[in-house]
Amino acid sequence: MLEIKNLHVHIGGKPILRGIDLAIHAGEVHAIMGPNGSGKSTLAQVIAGRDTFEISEGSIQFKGKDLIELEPEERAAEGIFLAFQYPVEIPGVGNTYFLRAALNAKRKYHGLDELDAMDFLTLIREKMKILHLDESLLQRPVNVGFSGGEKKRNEIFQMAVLEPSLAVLDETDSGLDIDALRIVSEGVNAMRSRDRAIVVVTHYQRLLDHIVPDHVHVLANGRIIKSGTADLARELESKGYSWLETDSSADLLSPSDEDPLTKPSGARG
Amino acid sequence: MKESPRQDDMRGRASLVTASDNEILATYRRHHHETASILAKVEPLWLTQRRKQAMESFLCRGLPGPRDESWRQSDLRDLRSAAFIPHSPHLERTTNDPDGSSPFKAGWAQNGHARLNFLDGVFHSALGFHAESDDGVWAGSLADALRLYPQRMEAYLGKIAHADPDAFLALNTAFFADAAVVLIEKNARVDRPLHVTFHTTGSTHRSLDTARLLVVADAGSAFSLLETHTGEGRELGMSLAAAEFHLGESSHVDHLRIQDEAQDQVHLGTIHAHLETGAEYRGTAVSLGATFHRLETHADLAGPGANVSLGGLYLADGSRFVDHLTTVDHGEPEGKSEQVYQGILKDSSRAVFTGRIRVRQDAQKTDAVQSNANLLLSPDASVHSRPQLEILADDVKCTHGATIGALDDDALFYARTRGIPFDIARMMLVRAFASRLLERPEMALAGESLEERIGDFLSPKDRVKEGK
Repeated sequence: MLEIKNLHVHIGGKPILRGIDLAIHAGEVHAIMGPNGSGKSTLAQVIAGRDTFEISEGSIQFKGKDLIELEPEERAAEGIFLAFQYPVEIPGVGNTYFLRAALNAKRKYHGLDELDAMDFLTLIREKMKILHLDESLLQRPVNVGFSGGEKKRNEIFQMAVLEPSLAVLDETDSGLDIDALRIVSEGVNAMRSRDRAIVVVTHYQRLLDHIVPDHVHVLANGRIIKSGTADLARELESKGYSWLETDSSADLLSPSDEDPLTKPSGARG
Repeated sequence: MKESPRQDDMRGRASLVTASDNEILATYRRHHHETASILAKVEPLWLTQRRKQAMESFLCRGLPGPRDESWRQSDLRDLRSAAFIPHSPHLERTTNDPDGSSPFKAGWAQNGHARLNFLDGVFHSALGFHAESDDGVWAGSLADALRLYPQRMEAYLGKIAHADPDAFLALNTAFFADAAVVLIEKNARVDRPLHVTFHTTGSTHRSLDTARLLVVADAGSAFSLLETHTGEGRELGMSLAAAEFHLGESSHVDHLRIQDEAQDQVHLGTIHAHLETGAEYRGTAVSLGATFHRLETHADLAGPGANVSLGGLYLADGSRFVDHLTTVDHGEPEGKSEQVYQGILKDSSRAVFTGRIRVRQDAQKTDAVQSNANLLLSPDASVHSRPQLEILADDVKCTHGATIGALDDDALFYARTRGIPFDIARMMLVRAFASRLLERPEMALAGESLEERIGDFLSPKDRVKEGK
């Protein structure tokens, strides 16, 4: 479904990803782990189409299409979904309005009729139950005044409504307490299916106790330095990322300059 | 004319102005003589005198220049290059044109509103009026108002807009050929909004058109007004618009003012609102057209517990210049005021906001807030935002804030990753930016038309897609 080959990405001349190779097939769940600043979030955002990065080398194929040529909205319509590490607040745009615009844009792209307000409401009420979201959130502006946990649940709720074929979850576990982690994980697990792939980007193992991956990749300093099964994640948890230093040069794992995307976005200008 | 200190000032000032300014002022003076001599035949003496005083005040002040604090950000070339020529007053007036003729039908006309139409500053037609006794409101032309309500006219016309007059208000008073007059009876709750249209044909180069409005809301009354300024001229022209509002005790007025003039028009407007005890004025000004727009809004909270809420929404593109100046003057205790001005600027347009709050010594327990937010959709657009607070009382709440920024790239990207196309996402965010104003109750007076205009303003054909 997704095939990344020799992907090199830099921002303002500074290399972030330095030759990523990754193949993801329908039905699989992949976890991408790694220390801070390793490029995990960059990879997630590059897949979604963030244009602040420059791709200097390599290719990304999605369902046989050249993904790099597609705008973010086209990628979304083709079935890619990114759950943000820091979901963006959009004051003045209602949650329901936003989600309906998104769903209808996708339907339009595929030549389907737009959903009317009633059908849409029926659909989202059903999805909300899965994520234990309070209906009052629907009337509020997108992510405004949401708690950290509500924002993450809202991301997975959007994913449930938009039904992507490839979902990339960027640090969805950060900022979640144990109960919220369980609810979010249940929401994701309910989405697992034979024709959908899920990529879980995370720093910690704990999310992977709930969402058990088929494949685990360790990213460090812009390269995948080790791949394996769910056991690899557990091993990392007990031994720490430094355990892998034996496999590679020490500087590979030293936290480099901060990943530009691990900071929350600034206030609206 | 008697010698007075004021006249000395005038001479002192006159010696500073350039020859060209003197020529311009002389032209205005000459036209005033012609106009005034015609109008004096049909108007009461007090009005002739007020016009004369206004003209003197204008000549005394002279044209605004870059040294005038409140004009220093403005490009005054059009205003200072030559005089604008007023129409000679039409004394024969059309009344009750049943179909209202085409210029007024287009654009902003709303179903269910009563309407007064003014063409080139002169009363043209009235539509959808009930008999006078129906709802406690009288609306009509200056001539009819002077005939039917002479005392009220003398008490209010040109009297509300007196404090700290700006040059162009004075010029309006000197020249206005007609006026829309609205008188609301005590305790009348008027359900039906009134729409006053001012339309200019602008057929000649440098023509000067006046628009004048007087609203007197007696104690306990409630009333809603839509005021639109439109035009079709292709030549440089000037619109001088002045509106006076007197709000009696515990009265309430909602006012939406839309400036949608032809693109080469210079639009200079003033609003003066005087509020008695417990009165409430809620007014929003929307600026969409004209090459140069300046609107001064002055609110006097002259009785305890008065409440003023001012909104401003300005959309500018091309090389347009948009300037708003407010003065909210708290003279009595327990007044409340709010100012929310927001601009969306494209291309190389420029905007200025000067927001004054004055809290006088007696105005304890005043609660005053002001905000000015600007969204720049182009790197060449620019904004000056200048809050000016003058607080003499010690027990007050007074806050202000200004922001200038571009569209939030993170929000735009977020929406696009959900499948929402760039143009729609951008529209959604801009609309969200303006939502604080679009949701103000008086905005409903313009129906859907306003949202459509914002849509047109951001139409994809001239979209700027930065960073791609």
